[in-house]
Amino acid sequence: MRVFVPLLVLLLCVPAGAQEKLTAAVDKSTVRVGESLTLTLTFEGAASGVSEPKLPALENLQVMGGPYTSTSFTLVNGRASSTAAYSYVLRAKSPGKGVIGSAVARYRGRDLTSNPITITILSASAPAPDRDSRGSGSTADAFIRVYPDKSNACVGEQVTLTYKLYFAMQITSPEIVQLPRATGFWVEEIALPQTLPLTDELVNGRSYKVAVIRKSALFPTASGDLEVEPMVIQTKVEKRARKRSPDPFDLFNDPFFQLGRQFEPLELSSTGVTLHIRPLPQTGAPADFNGAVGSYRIRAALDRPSCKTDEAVTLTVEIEGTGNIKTLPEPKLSIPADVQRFDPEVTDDIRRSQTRIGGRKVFKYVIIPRAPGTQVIPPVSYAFYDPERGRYSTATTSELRLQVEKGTGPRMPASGIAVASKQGVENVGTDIAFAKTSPGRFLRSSGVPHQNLLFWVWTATPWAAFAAVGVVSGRRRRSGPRALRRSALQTAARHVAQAGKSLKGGKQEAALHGAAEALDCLWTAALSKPATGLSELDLRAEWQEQGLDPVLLDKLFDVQAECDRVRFASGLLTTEAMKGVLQNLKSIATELARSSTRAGVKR
Amino acid sequence: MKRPLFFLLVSLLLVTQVCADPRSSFEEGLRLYRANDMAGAITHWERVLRQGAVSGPLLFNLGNAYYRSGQIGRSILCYERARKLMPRDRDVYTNLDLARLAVVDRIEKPVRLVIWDWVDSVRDSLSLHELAMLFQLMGFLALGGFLGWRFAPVAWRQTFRAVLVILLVAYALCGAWYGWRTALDTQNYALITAVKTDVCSAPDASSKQLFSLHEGTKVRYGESLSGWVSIELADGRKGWVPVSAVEKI
Repeated sequence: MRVFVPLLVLLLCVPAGAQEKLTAAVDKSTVRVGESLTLTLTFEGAASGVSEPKLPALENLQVMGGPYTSTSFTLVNGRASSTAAYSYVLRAKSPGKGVIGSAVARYRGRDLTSNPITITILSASAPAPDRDSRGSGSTADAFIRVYPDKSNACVGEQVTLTYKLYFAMQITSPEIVQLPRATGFWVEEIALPQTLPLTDELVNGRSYKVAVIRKSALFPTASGDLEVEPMVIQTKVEKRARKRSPDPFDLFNDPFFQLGRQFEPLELSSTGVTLHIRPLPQTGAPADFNGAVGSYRIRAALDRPSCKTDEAVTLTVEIEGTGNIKTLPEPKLSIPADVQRFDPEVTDDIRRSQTRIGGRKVFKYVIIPRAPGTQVIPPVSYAFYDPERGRYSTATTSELRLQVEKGTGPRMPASGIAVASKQGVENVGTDIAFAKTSPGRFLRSSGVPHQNLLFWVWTATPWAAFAAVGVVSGRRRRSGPRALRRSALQTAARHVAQAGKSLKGGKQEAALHGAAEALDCLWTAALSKPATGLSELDLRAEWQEQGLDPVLLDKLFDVQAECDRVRFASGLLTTEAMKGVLQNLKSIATELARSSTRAGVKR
Repeated sequence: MKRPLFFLLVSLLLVTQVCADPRSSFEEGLRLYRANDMAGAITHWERVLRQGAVSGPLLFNLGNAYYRSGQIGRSILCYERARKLMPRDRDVYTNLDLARLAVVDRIEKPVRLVIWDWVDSVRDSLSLHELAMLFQLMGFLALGGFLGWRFAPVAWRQTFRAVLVILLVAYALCGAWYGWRTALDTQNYALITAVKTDVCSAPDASSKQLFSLHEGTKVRYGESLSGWVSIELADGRKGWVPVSAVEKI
């Protein structure tokens, strides 16, 4: 059609009219969030000279494509008028109001202004108030419908969404603009054939071609009402022929004149889907249930039945079935303590071609037996919830046995002394120590030991014994020869002191008397009995018997002789002589006291 | 005439049934404990305590039963009591440490020298009963030394005198040790047994709340007043709590 533009401009002298105007129109006044609408700015008037209108200010709307231009001419009664249309594809951003401001186009120095438009935008899940031409309404040329295979499911159960494209006219291959966002789901695409098989379907009396454009398996990860947002696709649809105008001169709009097929862009949006997801049943869950949902079988195998110590063996655990293979938890293995286990290598093999997602998950463990003997790997069980049957089941492998021979590996050095690799005894768990099995000795629950009479009895006993011994020995000390000697010595000392005092007072007679008394006392102390009436020979014999120093005896005799001499020769009784006597007596008394203790110790 | 006699006999029988031998109650509690019936075990063992008999293993087992039934405060209480009776039993310390892990409150203790920890460990290495016996034993040994000094042959006297002096010093030390332990054991320590209790500034529920304590925290208690008791934490903070929230060790 553009070919005609210069031609017509040349041919027709178009008078400038005042009817030029710019109008704005949208294809729908109510949209949902994420859906698109087409804004068409139409310029009507004389043929040329109009500038492309500036895109109006948009509120809550976003330009997705455009402008797509189309122009047409009309020749009515010799007057040519032209129409230029600029279309934009807009998308609604958030629920509320969308405003398209006035667009301005410049035409021969004048500004043409279009009318502003307000659009209502609904939330994605709200039902459409009016089924307009581009929705899933029956009158539309093309639309998408989404079919969930079930609207109620439990957590982890597969829900399949099938997106079908219905079209009644030629369209180009669709292109997905916006994938349906599904929060709370694990999504797996189901593979579709390369070429979309078309089927025919009659919707509201109109025949449509139908193609399945997307199939996805959704695995809910949480319970509640979960929403899958709409999917938006973009395609190009063959431009519809304008309605034939009754004007016979409207030749140029006849499809006959169109020089090729014209396609116009079209965005289609599916509706959102709300799924009711219920949690897994609480009752009947096996103890080792770990969240696997589906239907599975489990196999375990060793890559060989026997090996040597410290050799690596591969243990393969394979879980196969239908369900969300990717999120399957690892089975719990109880490997014997003598076998070292490493983290598994996990591979998924997912079948996407069938309606139900399935496949297998393989866990490859490298295990290294460290001790010889038969190592038994107990059956591995795998609990899962089967939504088809609506109950929990457990798949179990058979028991595996590994014959381990003593290896001649690097553990056996040339010296022939086996050295085991030492490993710390790891704490698997911590718990309080077990209860005591024997009650021990029962005590009275209240009170400390010293509140018990027995405590004081036992404490007092040694003290009582001390006291008894002390009393007995004290009594013994007060009688007997030692006591006599001590008291005699004490008396002697008293007499000597008395005599000294008398001497100072000038009474020599009294001093002499005291000295004599003291001498008697010393004899008594030395012999442990009074010495009166004993001859010198007797005294010597007694002295010997007592084991006393003979020198001391001589001293004693000397003092006695001196005393006698002084007493009977009156001129000799001087203070000096008496002082000497008393001095001698004192020293003898000291000597006697010392030797008597020595003798006492000896005895 | 015969009827009252019959009743008397029956009631006597019942009384002997109720006041069962502590040993058999202990065994029965242990059987229930092993059968995982903690409530039953607690009932039997608490009954022994109510009868006035106590033993270290009994308190230890009771602590275990409380621990298993989730009453951490009471289990710590029992372990603390058991520790006094069997101070050298490592199981008690193991379980006490594990139970203390479950205590919510962390109270900063004032820093002190390591040597005091050693002193404490030596001091606590004997139970009060053992200390009392040691004290009395020392008394008798000192008596032996005295008799030896007094009556042994002369050649031994000097030795016996030295031994006697040493034994008398040891005797005095044991007495002091016993006194020290008694003073510490009769100190007013209590454990919080309520799951959570608010510590107030005065013995009055409407007074200002200072802080909260949780089950198993050890406190010193002071005077009590109309259903309230004053407590002090290891870090020196003080307050009042309801009597029902604490139990004396």
